[in-house]
Amino acid sequence: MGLHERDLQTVNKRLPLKDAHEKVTGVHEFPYDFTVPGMLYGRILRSPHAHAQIRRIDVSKAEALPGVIAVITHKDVPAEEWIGLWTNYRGCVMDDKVRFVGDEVAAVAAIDIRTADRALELIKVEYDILPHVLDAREAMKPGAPQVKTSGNNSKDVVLVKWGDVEQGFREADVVVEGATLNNAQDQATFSRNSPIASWADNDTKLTLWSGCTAPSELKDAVANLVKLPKSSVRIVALPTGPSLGKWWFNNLEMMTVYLAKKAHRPVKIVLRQDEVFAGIKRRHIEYTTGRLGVMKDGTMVSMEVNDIFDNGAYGDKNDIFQSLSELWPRVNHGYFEMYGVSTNLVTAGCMRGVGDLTMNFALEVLIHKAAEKIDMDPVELRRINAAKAGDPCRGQDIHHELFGSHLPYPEKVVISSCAMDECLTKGVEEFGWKRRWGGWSSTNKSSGPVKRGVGMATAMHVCGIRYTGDCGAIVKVNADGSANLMVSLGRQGNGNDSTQCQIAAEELGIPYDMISIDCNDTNVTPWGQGSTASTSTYLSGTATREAARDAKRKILKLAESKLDESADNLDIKDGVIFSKTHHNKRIPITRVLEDKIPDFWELAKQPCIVGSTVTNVPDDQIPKHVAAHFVELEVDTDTGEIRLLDYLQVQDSGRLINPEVCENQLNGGYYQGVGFTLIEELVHDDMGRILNPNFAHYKIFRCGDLPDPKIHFIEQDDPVGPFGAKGLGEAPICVPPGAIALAIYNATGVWMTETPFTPERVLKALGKI
Amino acid sequence: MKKSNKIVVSLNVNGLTYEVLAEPHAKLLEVLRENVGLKGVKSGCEEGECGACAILLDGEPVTSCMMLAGAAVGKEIVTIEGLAKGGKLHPLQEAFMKYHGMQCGYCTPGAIIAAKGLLDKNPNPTDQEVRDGFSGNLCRCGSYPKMVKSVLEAAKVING
Repeated sequence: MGLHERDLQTVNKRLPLKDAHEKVTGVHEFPYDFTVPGMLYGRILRSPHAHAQIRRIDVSKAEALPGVIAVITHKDVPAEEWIGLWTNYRGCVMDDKVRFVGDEVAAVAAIDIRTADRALELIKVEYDILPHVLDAREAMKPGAPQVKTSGNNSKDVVLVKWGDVEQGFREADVVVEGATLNNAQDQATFSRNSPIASWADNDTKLTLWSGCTAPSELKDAVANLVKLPKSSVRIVALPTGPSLGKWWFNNLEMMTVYLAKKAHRPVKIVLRQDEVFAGIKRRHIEYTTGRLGVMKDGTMVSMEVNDIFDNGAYGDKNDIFQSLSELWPRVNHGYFEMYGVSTNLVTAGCMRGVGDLTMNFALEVLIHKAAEKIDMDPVELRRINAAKAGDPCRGQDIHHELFGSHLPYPEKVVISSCAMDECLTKGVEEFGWKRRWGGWSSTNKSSGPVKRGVGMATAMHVCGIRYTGDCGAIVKVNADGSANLMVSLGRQGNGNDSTQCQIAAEELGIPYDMISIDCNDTNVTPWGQGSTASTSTYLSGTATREAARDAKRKILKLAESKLDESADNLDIKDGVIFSKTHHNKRIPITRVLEDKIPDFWELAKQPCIVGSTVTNVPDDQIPKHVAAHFVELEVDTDTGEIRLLDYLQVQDSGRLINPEVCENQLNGGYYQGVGFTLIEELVHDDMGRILNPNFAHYKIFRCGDLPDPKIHFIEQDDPVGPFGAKGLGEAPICVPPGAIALAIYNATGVWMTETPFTPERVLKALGKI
Repeated sequence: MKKSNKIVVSLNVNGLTYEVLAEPHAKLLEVLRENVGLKGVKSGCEEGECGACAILLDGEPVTSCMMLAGAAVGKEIVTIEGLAKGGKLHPLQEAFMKYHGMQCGYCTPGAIIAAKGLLDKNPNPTDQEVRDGFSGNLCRCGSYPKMVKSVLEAAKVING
């Protein structure tokens, strides 16, 4: 267990969410609930074709409809492309081409939704249909339809490599290979972001309210596009509802900005549920092949992964690689190559666990296969090779190359902490693995159609990445000893606003209920990465802690004269300033902060205590969070149905800031990760139309569909994270497919390699259909 | 100018009577949110799958997106806003706060309403009965385990 320099008062405590009362009383205001005076409603006309040139577009009848205030087409938006920092979008707001079924063609602002919908029907568009391509592997071939405005459909390869894998495979006792295909998962969120844009002062000021999770990044993108100073663009990030990456931010916000500009009124664009599924973004479809070479003693010697993923129409990523090599850094030879490819499907972008869910599945199956070949317990093979603190962190250099090539790169970059070994030990013990795992030869003995099996797998994910901007934080202390924290997070519902308050309260030495947070208004907060890439606890949390420390230093400086002690010898706990050595020297924090005028209730002479900082975390020690999962399940070999019986997660996220929040995150990773593995798939036809853009046909798990997961944490302090904490939210979704695939193999003797493992695919794998 | 075909709908919501002017085909969800102003009734999938818009109609949890406002005339409607009395939260609301029966909060009002519908009829439900009670409420954050715990703990408080 990690050690702390003092007893913790608010960190590591099961405290309620800061916004819990709002949520249980129904007053928590999501974008769909939010209005501003004078607001119009906007609707979007979307393309019925996967790829087409707009020959002619006539909006005159729509404009003439009473109640319609403005109509925009590609002629009303900049000819230049906009790009999100994390390359989830690269393209024009609209141009004279459409690149997927659902691409934006026009938008209408009207006095109500019904009028806007009628106006959409009056817009006449003539298209010249172009050939389309839906499969990433096809889109890479010479002569494939050109999806992007310029450059190849396939982005430049991203490589992480060391040693010589071919030599490694020659040296290995055993080499296994395999391929996986991951179909598209959707975030499947029933919160429908409805951004509202409002221009003011003769179009020199812009406010945008949106359920987004990266408000600072959105402000930069909008300010660059509309060419206003960043001080004149204000983003207010409203609660997103379930996001999982869907509402990071999208072209939807840009459409709203230009529709409001033309309408000269505030406009709120309202989406239908099918647009949320088929018109925003989803997880990538990925084709992964790999080879793994091991020695008979279990040493992995050579590891190769080739990954091709589709970006859809406007995704522009090639860096979805996050942590695959870092989990196995001890392998002598490694080669990981990734291609991001544009296709004429709805845009793909960051969804919870991006890259590490999909590529990790391929690699976990290879590790299982290698373990079988050398007849070794799959846990043991992982234990022999898993990362430990101080091991090389090789994937960092691609982020450096992409985002920070102008900055110096450290000589040695290492993983700051990794308790995979302890996670495996704990999992084996709590799950009873040795009792339940009967060895490779001993699959299910039942003669009936229902076969039982056990499995396990591992994963690692980032705690944010370096070189995509640092996070700032401000702590303002009030005269009564309470404090306001300002840090850019957005409001995704992952509890990170509460977590940040716990960090600040702990460092400042005041109770949790004496601190409030503003985390969503770019006019208030400094720049921050927001709630993305499991980074807020680590990066923003480091800034929050340092800003609180800065404020505390200023308070203690003022206390010096009152206590006749050096500030270095003073500290604050529970709102009381005390001497570390003279126990009788104690004064409430208010004695320093407020100097009330006698007999007057409020007016007081108050010092201005503001602590501020920008994160300055090391770029040579990189925290990663890791997880090991264990599962028992049944496969009905007559119907192909899979039923989970027992599931156990062990995770290392360093010190937990709020165990309740952390457990909920693991519950969510489990439901979404098992959903990805077993049932969730966005299906499209050969014209690129999404066939199941609704909850009737895109199923997600309901309460009672799965057994509750058992959850354990290995709480070891990370040396760089705030109070030893690391990221948490994404590793849990990355493990289920590898663990479930092994359990199915254990039960039936077949490997499932295409997700989701639907009954139909299971029966095909069993050779029954 | 086209003559309006709106109708007057009289609704009993959280113990008060509201007379609203609405299209004959207006959904109860829309009228509760836009005419009565109760936005704790969340608009989710609007196709009866997610349960975010759940209300109690004569004590039964129903999805308000799937019925016309006119069909609720003469019935007692309870929304999430009707649970707290005199500023004091219902034990379910207290339990959801204390045991973190939520993450993003989008499904929370509908889930608490479904749980109230259950506890009003079955004050001492089993774990499985609570899960069955949530069969109409999707939680994409996957907070189900703590939602179930919250209901079981609230039941203990209600039963004294």
